Amino acid sequence: MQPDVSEISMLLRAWSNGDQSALEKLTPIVYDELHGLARRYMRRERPGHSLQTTALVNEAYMRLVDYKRMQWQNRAHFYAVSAQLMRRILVERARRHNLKRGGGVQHVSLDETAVVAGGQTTDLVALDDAMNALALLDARKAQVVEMRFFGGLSVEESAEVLKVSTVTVMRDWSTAKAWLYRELSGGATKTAGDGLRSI
Amino acid sequence: MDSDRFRQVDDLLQAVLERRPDEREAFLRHASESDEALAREVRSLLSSQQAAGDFLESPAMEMAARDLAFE
Repeated sequence: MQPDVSEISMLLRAWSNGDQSALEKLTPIVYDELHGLARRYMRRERPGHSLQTTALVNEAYMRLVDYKRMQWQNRAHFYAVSAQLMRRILVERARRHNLKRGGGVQHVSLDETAVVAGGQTTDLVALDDAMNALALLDARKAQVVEMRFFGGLSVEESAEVLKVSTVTVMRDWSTAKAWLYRELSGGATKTAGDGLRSI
Repeated sequence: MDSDRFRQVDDLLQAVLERRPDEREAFLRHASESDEALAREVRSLLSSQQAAGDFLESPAMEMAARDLAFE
């Protein structure tokens, strides 16, 4: 069933204006759409080639939203809302999988809740919690992570959304990454005295 | 830690990163003056940064899309 574009556009706008109930209605629609797209992309995928995920996400939004008629404040606003929505959807999905397995994060499997990147796995629920903690210290750094990791935005696009320079985005990203990595690896209390010697 | 303290840590961390690796420890000691807790926090983050590798470097959709496709 083709989703009703005007209804989705209305929900997205309502949510970006602060209506949380719009998100409840929006999430399953966007999730279904992504699900269908992911299947089609996987069928097209050739072995040894990575999924064109940016194209996938863009296609999802273009199908869902009548972008030209949306009257977003600007492109940056659209990016920001998209990244936030992707975060909510992927984290909620990971949370459901965690619960299904008895709530244990100690048995994070590669195929369900975790995102594998360069041989490392990231528990999205734990990451989301850590990002909320980071936001209390520095909201912009948490936003940079939301945009780059969840929204798949480039440094330039993130800079446009946040109205800061690309240098600032890169600095935020590097500090945020170090801080979040330490949170997720349980090293916050550890004194890392050898950090400088081995650089 | 509050946000003012975090900003201090962030500024110093970024300043240290701009120095050549062999100058960093001396710079950090000098810049943090007698604030040993500050220096310790910056060292800890430097160490995490090195260990982080590809952490968060591939968008979340990368793997999620694969999972979604097989659900």
